[in-house]
Amino acid sequence: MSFINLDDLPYLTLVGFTLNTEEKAAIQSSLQVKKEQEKLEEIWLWGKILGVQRDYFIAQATKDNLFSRKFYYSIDLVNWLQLPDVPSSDMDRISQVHGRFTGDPAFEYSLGEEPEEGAEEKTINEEKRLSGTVALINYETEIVPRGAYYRDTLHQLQKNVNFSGIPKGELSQLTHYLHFREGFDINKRTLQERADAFDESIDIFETIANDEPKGVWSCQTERTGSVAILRSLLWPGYVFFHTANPPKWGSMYYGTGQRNLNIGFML
Amino acid sequence: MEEDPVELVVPEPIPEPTPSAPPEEVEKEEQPAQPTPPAEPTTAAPPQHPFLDRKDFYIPPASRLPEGSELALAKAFLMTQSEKSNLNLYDHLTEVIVRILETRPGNVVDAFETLSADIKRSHFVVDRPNAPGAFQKASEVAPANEIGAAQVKLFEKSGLEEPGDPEAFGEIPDIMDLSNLWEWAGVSLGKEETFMLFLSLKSLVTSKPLQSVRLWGKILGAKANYLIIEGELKEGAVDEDAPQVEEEVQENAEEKKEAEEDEDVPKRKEKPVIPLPREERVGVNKYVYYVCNYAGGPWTRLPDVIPEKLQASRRIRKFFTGDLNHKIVSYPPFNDTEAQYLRCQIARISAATVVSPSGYYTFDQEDENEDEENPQPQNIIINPEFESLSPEQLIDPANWVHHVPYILPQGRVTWENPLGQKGEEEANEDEDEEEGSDAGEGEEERENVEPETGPGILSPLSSDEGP
Repeated sequence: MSFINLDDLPYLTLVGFTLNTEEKAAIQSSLQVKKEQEKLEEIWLWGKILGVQRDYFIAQATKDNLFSRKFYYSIDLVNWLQLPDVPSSDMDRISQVHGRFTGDPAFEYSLGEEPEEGAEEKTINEEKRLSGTVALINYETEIVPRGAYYRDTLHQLQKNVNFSGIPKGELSQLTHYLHFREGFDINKRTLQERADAFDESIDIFETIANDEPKGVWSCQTERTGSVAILRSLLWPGYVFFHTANPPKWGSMYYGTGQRNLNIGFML
Repeated sequence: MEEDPVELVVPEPIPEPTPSAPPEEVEKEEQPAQPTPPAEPTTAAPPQHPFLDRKDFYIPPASRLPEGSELALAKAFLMTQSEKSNLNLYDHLTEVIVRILETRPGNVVDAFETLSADIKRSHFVVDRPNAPGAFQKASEVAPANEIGAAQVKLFEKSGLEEPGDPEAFGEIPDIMDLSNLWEWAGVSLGKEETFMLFLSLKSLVTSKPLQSVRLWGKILGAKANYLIIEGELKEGAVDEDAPQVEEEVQENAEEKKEAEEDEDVPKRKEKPVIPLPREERVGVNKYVYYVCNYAGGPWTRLPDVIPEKLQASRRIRKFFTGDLNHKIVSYPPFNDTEAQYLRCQIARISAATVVSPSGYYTFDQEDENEDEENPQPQNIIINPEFESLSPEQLIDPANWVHHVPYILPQGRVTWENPLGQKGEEEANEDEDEEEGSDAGEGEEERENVEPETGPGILSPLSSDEGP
């Protein structure tokens, strides 16, 4: 789960960004109001996407199933609007847009291709692009520490209340961090792998150590080794922190919403 | 938070006897404390004190047991290490007795064997150091300790520092105050880190001949980050940290030149071979830069910008690793370390993004450096009559200006003829070797090169162009 408690923002200053006092104060209040209005179980700040004119703040709300989440965005920090669901046909279009976000949700991106006669010009509006980008970022970067979630006997995903954090000396091992996404099937692993590295109840996601290309995650320990900071180099701006004492983790996206297409050359 | 002992670290030897300690040491250390408790009833000399059984209690030499040669021999025998378990009886008995006296169980004699076995078991014998359960040194934690130690030094220094002559040291910005303003822009290094950086800056200006310093920023690397300081050297100060790259580069250039002459390749058909002269303490290299990986870490001076490298840096995109000696592997080739790449990027970022409200800086009227080739004035000073602009004016990009000069495509601020300066010895020599007609051509060619130009210093942001 990708979320950040406003109290944990000081951890993110380790990579250089923060929210200012106005933003923190406004978000705290307005999210509470939104939660009440929509009768949501829980609502968290997800991140901030920097636009040319204005920035988008993104929040997410959870329901019973942790994977079906609702996302909201706000420009003025007061009104939160739900992001539309994006059909997969639109996802293709979204991945063709590479520029900066403008800050106007109604802005239409044209996809550059010359429209055929009679056919409509292919466009995608910024609100949809925002929704698709959030989904993409979640799919490729959203991570949790190993052991923070488990599957119970009914195969339901549960938050592990007894999770005590990753030991301090092992904070910088990538195998301790897992992608928070569906589709991991332990039965597809060889027996050898399962015996060596998997615990069926907590190894319910793919580990990020297998991500390609190698080095796509930058993992550093800060504050004399007590906090692990992971940054995705594929989506510059996604930052995850984890500390074992107290066992806390959180993540936030703070960037321009552009995928790093040059990553192969930059590593 | 910090007390958490890392599970994998080998526990520090406790003050109690350790089986692995060499016998001599054990003898000296333990002898006063250990043999006495059993001796209590026999020797009447030390009076009965309730704290006598404490093992940290000091027993004066006078009341120690006399040590004859027999005793020494017996002791030496007891201290013989077992080949199997690496223990010795003396240490073991000491431990058993200490344990008995610490816990004072009833009917000790009956429980003696159990106790003895228990203590033996508690020694974990590592027969395979890489076994899963074995104690291992946690190497990842070591750098963290190093950082901690380096940071503690900052505080020690600041406490002991004598007032001294404040004018002898360079100016440092009040970054604690500035950090509040950065925070409004969503930028923060963290309060603690900013403070430690401030202390570190202070020690930097006292140890280096810097006129003033500025916190340039932080660049995140894959393995470590860079904190970057921009400093201005004092006028006339000896530049101790002057980059050592210079010689190397010139050697390279000479080698190349030689190679070219050997092959008898006509000159100037390819890229210009004569390296452009570097700017020294002006233009791109007006400031010097120091970097460190963490607040409190050692400062490393970055080399000066080499124009050719700056040109190359424009064509590549690389992540920083955090290691200054890392070789940049790229196409087109950069052929240098990360330190030079970092320096080039700093120069480019500064030139493109360092701005100030218009009118804050003004051209230095007394500057007489203007020459024919560089008609644009370069020197700027703080305008003493500057009046701050209103917030409405400040949000207009037209009211902000660049106060770091534009870097020309050739990688310098002032244009330099790539074919050499007129009357330059080197150029003359080269030409002398060639035939007369060639020399004439070269002369003509050199004059025909179109000087590169760019926007002058203090030009407004609104006139910026996209890449």
